[in-house]
Amino acid sequence: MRKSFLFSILLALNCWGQKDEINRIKSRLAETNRDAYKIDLLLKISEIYALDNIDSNLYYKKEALSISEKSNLKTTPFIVSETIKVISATNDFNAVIRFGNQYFHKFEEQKFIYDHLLIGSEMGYAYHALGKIDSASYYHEYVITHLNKKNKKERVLLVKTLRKRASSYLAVSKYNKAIIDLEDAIQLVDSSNYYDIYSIYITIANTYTQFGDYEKALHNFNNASAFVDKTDGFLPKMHILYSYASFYRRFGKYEKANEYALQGLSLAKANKHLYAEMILKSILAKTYIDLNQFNAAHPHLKDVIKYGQQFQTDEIVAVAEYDLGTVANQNKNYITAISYCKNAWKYLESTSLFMDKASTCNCLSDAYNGLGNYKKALDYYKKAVAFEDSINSEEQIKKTYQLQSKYDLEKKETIHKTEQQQQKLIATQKLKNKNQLVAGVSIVSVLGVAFGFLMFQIKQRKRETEVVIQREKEQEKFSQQLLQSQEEEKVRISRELHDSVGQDLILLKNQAQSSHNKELESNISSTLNNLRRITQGLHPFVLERFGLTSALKKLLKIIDQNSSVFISDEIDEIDNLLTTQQELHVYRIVQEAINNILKHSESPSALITAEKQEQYIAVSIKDYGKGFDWSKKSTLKNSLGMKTLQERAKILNAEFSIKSTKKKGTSIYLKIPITNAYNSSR
Amino acid sequence: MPTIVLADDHPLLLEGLYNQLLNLGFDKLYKASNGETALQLIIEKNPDIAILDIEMPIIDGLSITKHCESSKTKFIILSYYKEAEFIARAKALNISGYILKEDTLIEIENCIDAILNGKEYYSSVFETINIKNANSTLDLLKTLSPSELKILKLIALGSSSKDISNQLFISERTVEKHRSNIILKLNLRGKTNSLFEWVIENKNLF
Repeated sequence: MRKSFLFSILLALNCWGQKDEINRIKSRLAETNRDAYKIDLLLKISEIYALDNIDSNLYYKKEALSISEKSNLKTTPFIVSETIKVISATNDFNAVIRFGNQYFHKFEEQKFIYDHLLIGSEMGYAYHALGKIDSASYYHEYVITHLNKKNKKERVLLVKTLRKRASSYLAVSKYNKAIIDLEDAIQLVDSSNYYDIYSIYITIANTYTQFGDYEKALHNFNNASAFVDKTDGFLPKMHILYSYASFYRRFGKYEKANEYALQGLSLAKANKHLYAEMILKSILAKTYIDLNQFNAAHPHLKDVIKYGQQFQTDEIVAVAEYDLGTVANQNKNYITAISYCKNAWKYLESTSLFMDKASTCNCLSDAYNGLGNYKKALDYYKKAVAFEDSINSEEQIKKTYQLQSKYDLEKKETIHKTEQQQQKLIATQKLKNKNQLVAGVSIVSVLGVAFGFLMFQIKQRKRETEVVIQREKEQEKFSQQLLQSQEEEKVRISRELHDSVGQDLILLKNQAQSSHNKELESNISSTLNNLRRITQGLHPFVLERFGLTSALKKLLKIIDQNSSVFISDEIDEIDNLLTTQQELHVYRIVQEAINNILKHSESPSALITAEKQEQYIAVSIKDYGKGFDWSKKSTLKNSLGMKTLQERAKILNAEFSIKSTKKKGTSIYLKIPITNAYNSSR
Repeated sequence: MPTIVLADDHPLLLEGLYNQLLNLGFDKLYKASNGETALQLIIEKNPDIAILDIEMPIIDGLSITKHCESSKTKFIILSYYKEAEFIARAKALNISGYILKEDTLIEIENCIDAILNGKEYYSSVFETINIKNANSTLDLLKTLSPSELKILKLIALGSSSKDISNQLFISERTVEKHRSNIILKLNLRGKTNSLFEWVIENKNLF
């Protein structure tokens, strides 16, 4: 899988910047005042940089974005989408999430559904890369279920997202799920996009190779091969030759592997592509070693190291080094072998490439054996066995998934057949509808008249609305004050209870203890515990003393203890970013949201996350319960609890949104700007 | 006889503690009804022990201990709060004793004894069970977090990790993580399928 990643770099390296073109555009940029034109030019420059200078590409995209946002242009969603793709390519996944969070919900509210989902797709991948698996699968699932297959643009995104999710499944050895996604992708991908089809097929084939399913892998390689012939350029051809070679190696057909590697190499040489030459030489040398033709491997390995250092591809160099070690062992140059292997080890040590690690250790063991240093030989042999074991345990996982996958795939096929039948039905239905179109036209013209009348009414209403807005503002201020004084009142009651009833109960308990009245003592104890619970609920003193992070964690722990709902949390350290008053609002929002989950959602679990970003804190509370009708008319939206949530969010100056789908659950998002860094000492 | 400073802003409780200590035979006692007086007394009298309420006007108990870090005085904190966060904070501040306020009268003697012998003393309610001193299956169960218990219950119903992950909308990996934590806490390492066997055996306990 890693090798094919190297190949995609190779595919991208194919083009170089054009300085003159950039200078020409820059001079035009200096002349114009029109924002739209400026944006256009900036995007053009960024595209020229796209292939060789990712930082400049990003810089110009962001410039374009800031102009577009400032002037409130319609281009904003498009530029945001383009920008997030570039950020994603820089591998700064925290930045992807930061950037994505800024727009994800905003675009949904503004009904830029496509861009909203595109951002979601990129964020899912970023979360995956950061190891936040729950969040990743949430975003992927969300995007995949919300995309519309029938819309061409969305279908392209769907294919892309499915491929991304597949690659994250592959990373955790969930081959069955990866294959299901990839096969879905094949069904949906534009049938004229040969390049995508070939690369999906090749990923499926590589997955089956990993799996050890010779037949299916070969079948998919042949499919890929058929589409490669339709693409232009020699790189896909070389890619498939390389993949064939590693496939045949995997199944022990070294002669064939060698054949394909040689073909690939001559193609690379004919096209004078050094990088490709290096990769193919590396596999060719391996096939020679497989065939015990060590001296044939030697010159190729030397070349790989030479080119590899030039391209700074450490992994390939390390592999070539231990291969050279193996060759040296055959020629009884044990000292040389050891020095090659030690070089390889320097890189491999910190990686999880168990197979390569095992090979290096085996090679070292052979070399020390040749030198007569049996103790070291044994040590390295043991190490090699340990690494091989960890591969084997992975193999076992793979086998389990293999069985599972066979079942899943069969199920999928049946579903697919029924879908096709349904599509046929729909097609016939559409044909019938065409005949009714003529009748439809006259209805449209009637609608036109009605629309004109509506516009007139709207204008008149606008004036009335302004008055209403003014009134609403006043009301808002009032309700915020109300909320604030309510909070103060709670603190006062909590304090009062603690100071009077609490202290009195302590005295009573002391008396009970000194008169050895056990029953009374334990009754007072439980009263005290109740009182603690009440005062804590009225005002969370843990928040005051230990900060928001501890307070939220404690809140979740208590809820987890006292309810059957399974609570998961991913809470970053978010202390000293807000004022104590602001912290209290955040705490209350989370508390209220979870109370709603417990009371209404019937959800088996909830996920609460709080993420610290540079300029804001992103909080989300999700459940997977029955959801509710979130339309304007809904009584729930106007309930006191919901209104209080919204008011608090307003006080925090935070973006606030609620999404609820019937039977799928409810999500609450909150984005609180960090206005000042409060380094207050508690 | 050790010198002791007592501080509590609640006069009746302060008086009660004072009398209790007198009865126990301690006679070098100084009382304070707020944090500031207490701090002053500690600096002036340089007592062996200071018993401080955690919440007092002007300066609270924990802050006083911070001010007197370099003195020879050992501190006992009296607290209304049961929260683990407070215990952690107290331990970090090098506080020798931490007693739940309602249990002061019956625990104070043992606490002072322990401290005079150079030991630490925390109210019995704060004793957390850990694997080392857990000896019964029930004790082991108490070491599990609520989430882990919920997972355990589902395992008892015969659910696989995949079922659990689907049911709770969490990733299979998270379930596996909990599972391995449970195995670790229940001391079941190294045996295959041991968790399921354990669950079947102890089904009635949770």
